[in-house]
Amino acid sequence: MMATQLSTGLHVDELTAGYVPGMPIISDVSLAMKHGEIVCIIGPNGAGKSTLLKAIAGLLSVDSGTVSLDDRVITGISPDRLSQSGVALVPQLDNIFRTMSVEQNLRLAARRCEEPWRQAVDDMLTLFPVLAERYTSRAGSLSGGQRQFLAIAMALVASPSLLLLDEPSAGLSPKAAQEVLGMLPGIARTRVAILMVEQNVRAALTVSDRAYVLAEGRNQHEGDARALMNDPVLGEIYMGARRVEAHAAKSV
Amino acid sequence: MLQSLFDGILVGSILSLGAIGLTLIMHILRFANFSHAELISMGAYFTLTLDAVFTAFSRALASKLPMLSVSISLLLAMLAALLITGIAAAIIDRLVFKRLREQAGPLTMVFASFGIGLIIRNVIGLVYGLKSVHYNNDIAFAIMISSDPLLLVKADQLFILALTLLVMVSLHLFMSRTSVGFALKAISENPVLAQINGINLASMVRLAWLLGGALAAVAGVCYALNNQLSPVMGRDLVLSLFAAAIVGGIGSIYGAALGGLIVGLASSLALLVIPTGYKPAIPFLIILLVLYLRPNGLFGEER
Repeated sequence: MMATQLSTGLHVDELTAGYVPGMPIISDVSLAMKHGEIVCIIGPNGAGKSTLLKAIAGLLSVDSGTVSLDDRVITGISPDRLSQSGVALVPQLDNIFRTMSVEQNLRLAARRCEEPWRQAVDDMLTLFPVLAERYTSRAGSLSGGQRQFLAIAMALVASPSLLLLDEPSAGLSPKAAQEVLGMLPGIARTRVAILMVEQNVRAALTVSDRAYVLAEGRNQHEGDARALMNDPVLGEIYMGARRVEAHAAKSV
Repeated sequence: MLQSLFDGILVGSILSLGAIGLTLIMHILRFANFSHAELISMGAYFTLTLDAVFTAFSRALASKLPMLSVSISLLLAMLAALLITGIAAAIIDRLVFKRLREQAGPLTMVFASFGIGLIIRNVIGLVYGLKSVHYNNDIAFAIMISSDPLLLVKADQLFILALTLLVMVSLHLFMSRTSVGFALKAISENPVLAQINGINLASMVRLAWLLGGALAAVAGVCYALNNQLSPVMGRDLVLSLFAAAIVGGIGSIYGAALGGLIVGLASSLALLVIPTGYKPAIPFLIILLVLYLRPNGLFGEER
């Protein structure tokens, strides 16, 4: 399946990657998105959704295929250099430095900024007032929702052009999850492309513009987020029936 | 009792310096580096050589500091040696451990560290001989601070305490006030998250080796000033260093500093109630006790 061609934004073309070279978790995955768009990757457990995000962020070795951002190929670039080139990843777990204070976490993340760190950090405190209240607290003492806000603030502090979110609502209370997902359209309006992996499919599709469905490490389906919400194909993919058909058709 | 307390703090502060580098490397690279203690010997012997070189270069440098047996040339030699030892540690990583962590695993690295330790120890023995030596052969007289309870303190020992305190405070300021210090703490806590926040892993690993090597060199000089130089001084300290790092919690710089003091004090105070021959067992007992009560050490985080 080839992704829709767009002039700027993120383009992933037939990406094959995994944790061990030669043993791919995702195979020939393609997607495209433009700035200001929210795209979610959904699919059953083990589909390779998080692996895809890690491969885009430079954390995994890529066997074949390319990732490009604004017409610049970024495949194979180390994660630290990628993060300085506008790619920000918020991992699902361990996404803050627990032993450091909120201030130290933000200052550390602001090392990537071109502007003075103070201004960038102040912008984040304005965007996330709860972090201003806990500014000197140890990050490990924050609640689940506050931790997620801090993790997102650390990603946004350097004004990235691509924000990769791995299960942003995982482990949060329904209210906190709603707050986290609810702020994504506002972030996207600042021309940030948001690519999100989320298990809470309905909530993710509600805030997304488009979605890609992955199963067994491959593209299975894509479409408008709201249309997908009522698409029976989605249920079939989750139940496995659709995948069997796709593989059967391929083998013929 | 008071004398044992003082001796414990003195030995503990030296152990703390050595344990900080050990705990950093153990946490960042996920392997127990048994050759770390040999960096202590390396730093002490580099200082011995450089001291001789500086003294030969200018006799004025051989003049002693007031009340101390420490000369200006020894201080300069120590400064140069901590840089050289740090660089040597980074080179050892580049030549041996880097290849192993890319192509093998942590267990292979542990065994390699035993080998590296043996090589360093034997090269030191080959170059400097197996006999113990001192930085200078002057008799350092102790000052009686108190007669009841008895407390005898040498001026050199106060110098060691002041030096270790200065190094600790400098390290604390570096780690808590500078962005490079934050980055080093970040890599130590979560290497993946640190990288996606723009921190270069390879350069921080190099910095950890440099820092660890430099601190080990200072520890070596302090140990040699308080005792003597011997090719086996690293071997004699290795268990106490591991005990200090484990007590403090692997990865915690402040934990290693406190761990060193605890091990030093416990080893010294234990001699009041047990025969000297059992002294080497004290670090083991402390490790067992701490692991039983707090499996992650005093400041360690659950991983």
